[in-house]
Amino acid sequence: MKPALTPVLTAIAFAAGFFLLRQWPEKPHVDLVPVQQPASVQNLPTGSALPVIRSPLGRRVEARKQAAGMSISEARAIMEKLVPPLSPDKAAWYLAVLERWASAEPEAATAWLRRWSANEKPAPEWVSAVLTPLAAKDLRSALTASRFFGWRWTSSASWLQAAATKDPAGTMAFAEKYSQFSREAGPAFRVWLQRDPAAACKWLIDGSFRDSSAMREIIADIAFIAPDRLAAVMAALPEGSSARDAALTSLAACEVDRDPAAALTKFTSLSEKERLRMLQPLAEQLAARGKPSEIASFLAGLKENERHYALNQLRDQISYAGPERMLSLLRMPGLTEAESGSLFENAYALGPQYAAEFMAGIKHGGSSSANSILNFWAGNLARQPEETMTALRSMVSGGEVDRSSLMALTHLLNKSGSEVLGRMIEALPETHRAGPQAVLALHGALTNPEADLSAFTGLPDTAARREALNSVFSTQDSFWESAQRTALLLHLPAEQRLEAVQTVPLREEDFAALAPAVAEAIRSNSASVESMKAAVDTLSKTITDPSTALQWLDSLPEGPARDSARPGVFGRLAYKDPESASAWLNSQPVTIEGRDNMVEMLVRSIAGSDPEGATEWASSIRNEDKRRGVLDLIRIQSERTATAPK
Amino acid sequence: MKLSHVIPFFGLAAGAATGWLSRGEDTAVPTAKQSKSSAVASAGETNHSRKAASSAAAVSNLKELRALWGDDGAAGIYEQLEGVPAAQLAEWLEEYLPPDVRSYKVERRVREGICQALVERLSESDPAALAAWLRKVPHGYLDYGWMVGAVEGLLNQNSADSAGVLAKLEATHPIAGRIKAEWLAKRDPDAALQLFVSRQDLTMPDGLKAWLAGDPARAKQFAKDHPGRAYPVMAALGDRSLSELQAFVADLKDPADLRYAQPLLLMAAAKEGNAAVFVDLFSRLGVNPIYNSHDDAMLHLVRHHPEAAQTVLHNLENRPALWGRMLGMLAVTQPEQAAALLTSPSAAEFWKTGGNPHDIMRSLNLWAASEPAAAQSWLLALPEELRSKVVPLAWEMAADLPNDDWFSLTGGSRLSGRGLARQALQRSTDPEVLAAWCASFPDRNSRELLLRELRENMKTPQAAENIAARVKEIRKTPPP
Repeated sequence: MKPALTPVLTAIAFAAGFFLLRQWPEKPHVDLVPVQQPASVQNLPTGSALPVIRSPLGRRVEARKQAAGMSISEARAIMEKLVPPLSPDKAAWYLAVLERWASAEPEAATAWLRRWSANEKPAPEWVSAVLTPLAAKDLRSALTASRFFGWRWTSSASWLQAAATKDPAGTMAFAEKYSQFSREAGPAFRVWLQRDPAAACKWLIDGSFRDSSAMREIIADIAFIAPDRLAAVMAALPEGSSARDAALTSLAACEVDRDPAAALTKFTSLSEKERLRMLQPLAEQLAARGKPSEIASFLAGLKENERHYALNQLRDQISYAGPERMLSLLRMPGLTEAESGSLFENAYALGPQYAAEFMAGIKHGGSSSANSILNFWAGNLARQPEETMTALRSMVSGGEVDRSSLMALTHLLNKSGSEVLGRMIEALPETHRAGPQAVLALHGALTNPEADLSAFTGLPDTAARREALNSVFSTQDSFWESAQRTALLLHLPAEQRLEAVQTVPLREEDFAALAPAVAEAIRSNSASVESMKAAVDTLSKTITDPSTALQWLDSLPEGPARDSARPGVFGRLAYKDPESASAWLNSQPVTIEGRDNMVEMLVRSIAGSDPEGATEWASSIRNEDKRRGVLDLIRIQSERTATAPK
Repeated sequence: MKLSHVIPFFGLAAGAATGWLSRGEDTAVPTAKQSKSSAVASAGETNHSRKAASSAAAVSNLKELRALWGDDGAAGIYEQLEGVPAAQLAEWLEEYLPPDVRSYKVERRVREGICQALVERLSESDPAALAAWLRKVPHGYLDYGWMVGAVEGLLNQNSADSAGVLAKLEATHPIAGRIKAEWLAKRDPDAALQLFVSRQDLTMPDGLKAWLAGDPARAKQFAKDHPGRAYPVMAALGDRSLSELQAFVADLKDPADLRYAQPLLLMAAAKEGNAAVFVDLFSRLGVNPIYNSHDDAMLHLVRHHPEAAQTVLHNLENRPALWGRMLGMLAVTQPEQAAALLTSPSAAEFWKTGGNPHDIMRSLNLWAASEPAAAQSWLLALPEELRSKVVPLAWEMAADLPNDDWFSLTGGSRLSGRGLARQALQRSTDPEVLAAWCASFPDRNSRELLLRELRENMKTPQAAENIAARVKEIRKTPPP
């Protein structure tokens, strides 16, 4: 070596050494979350300067940065050594390592995750971390693997999108061929559109990809990404097709999104069809951010069906509004009482200071008013208990809150273990405490058959008892077990038991326990005829198989309770199994109560398949008018069958 | 050896030493977008010093931020916000109130993602500003994704003011309390348990679960002291054996506890492949099973104990809906066994009383898309009667058949959804072929649906009308 070269070589060696070691990958830090001082629940210590703690996204970014610095083999080794259960603190870190590994070796990472899932259900983001890069490499392999993880369809959009980064045309052809993926293909098409708008739009024009739900997204993307090609794409969609309709709706939404004020001005000049398309996005926009006066004048210019639709949008948005906006919308001029009532149904987040206004408004609401009242009081009792109890007392005294609402509220609060329930009942006027106490007694008896039920059984009338039972059973039907329901019913006095059978939602498994009690009540004549009728009818409906139900009715003592339930059960049998129904009816005396009605049901069931048999049965109807009517029915049915296409 | 030969090696060593010593935070291998932003501050940096770094803002408005949405989603946006002043973050968040109402889910996802990134950055740089912004958010607009960032930001702020804001937030948004419990569980499990007990919440923080699972005696005591709330404790013990869980459940009396015990026992039975217990629990499963946990248990059994799964399916006649779902799962991993079950007595109940055919359909179609050849040969090997039941549910299985076979296999059945006519059109535009195929469908409703789809997808309306006329001729029906 020439001495003159020594300094040059030394400098080169220095530089090489410097860069090699400076860039040498660091070992990953496993502890990403700095240790915190324990904090008590109520009183967080004040003032002290703590180190910055990364938020969840920050931890993810940090973890990804660290994982990016490791080699694939390091990532693989870390994951393969992982043993469940996984500490939640380290979840972000391991996810990043898994992503790093899967980015280079998606097959191996997927196979590892399959093994892992034998012991612990993998989090959705873990499945996504391995399947998304796998889809980018080989879509079919990703779908095969997804079958193992029991993956839901909703995520196929991201796999198609990943596959489109490698082969957009092939991915869209796949989505076209397998129609269950076509509606998820919007993001994949976007990838293609961004890369090669000419080819993507040409494929759309020439092909037959017309899935309407994906078309909405696709047209919106073309309008933003390749507006110059929009006209050609629209022209290729056949007039009157659902794809064209979806596209036009999508364009209307884009227009409103871009400039709501201009869209509002334009709205009045549109044709009826175009108005309908723009109505949805415009109504949504106005409901979310329009001034009340602006909304009122918009509503005033709408036709009845349009107004109904726009009010529905407003109703949805009200539940998201803050208290001030909520009030200003509820007080909007020009609303009818029913319209205003319907808006109040979603305004249950108002505070207790507006209780009077809420209760007055909700009176004109529809079928969900009862739930709204419940939500209003339960929500406010949780947020502002003292103010709410004062308001509730005053509303109850004034008759604005009825007994049934109080019972439903008691049920809800007791099931959720609310601490304010006891105080709430005490805060009520004394004359209004019986209902809530009856509900508490029912709850007690459902969990402990020995519990005292007198607060319920002592209620003054049937209506009150029915309200109490409704509030306990109607909202959470499936909550109580069969044994609890039947134990409660058997615990009641005979007359009240029959009442309750009509109110408590029963299933087939309840039948065996209750049938003897009902039969006994009929035999001993210990209840009113109406109660017995209703109880037998209700109980017979719990039996799925109508011939079993009919057998049970046959076993009951003669009388109105049995006779009134028979035709309904027979009707079910006639529809399901006409032959058995015929055999049963033949075995009964012709004087059996309700025979004409039962024959009519049988005839209706067989008229199409066996007109001769139907005619024979119809002739046995004793009431002349009915007989004539049923025979006419058979004739019409026969004519229809004769002219029907073969 | 001459000295001049050795000197370069000293140079190499010196360079390496200098390089190693100069390693720092900023030498981490950059991610795809890191070049746009300044380095992330170290964990020990204070709020004050972070604010001072704000001059390095890479983004100047929301539009730019939106354009940066990429594969990294919210995480990528978060990175771009490094160094953006808190006032600017708060101003951008302000612009998001109230949020857009445009209903396209992708667009909404982008907006929520940006919002999440803004909230989390603000929670790190200026929690007081975050608290002020949170007070303005209308009820109902708070999204879980960024709620986590907001609540953790307030907890990390650790001041009386932030505790006040948090208390208010908890009163109006129960989810805030859950996030707080999760945060606390990692730091002070006793306090977290106390908080959990005070809240009427069934979801126990993961950290707390792990803590309780490590101490089964404490878990049992908790279940005893708090009837109706044993579910999360049982979930914590989820990896215990079936017999251990059964012993735990035997002491429970509250109906809610017993109801919630069902899915956990079911999963334990699935893990052990215990078909008898599985059938027993399954038959008694409530009408509205909890959290779809029965699905997870079914899937586990099908994947890890396929033979036990078949035993279950042979003995589950009284629950056609659940039977259908489980068969759908088995169809994709064990198609032959599933096919055999399609003709079993349990299947008769399913076809008759209406389990949902879509449960089978979805699984079969996924199989068809992922392994078309296998799915197709399975379909062709089915007995004729069974094939005629399966084809209307899973047309995709026939997707790779030659045209003649495809038309003959899909025709003559009853339509169960949209898309079949479009597929037919991809195979042939011959009006005679399409008309004969449409006419082969026995019910009028199916034919009308097919013709409507053809009208929507054919290039000229007249071509579709001609086919409709030809179908009428073939069926010999009088014009309406």
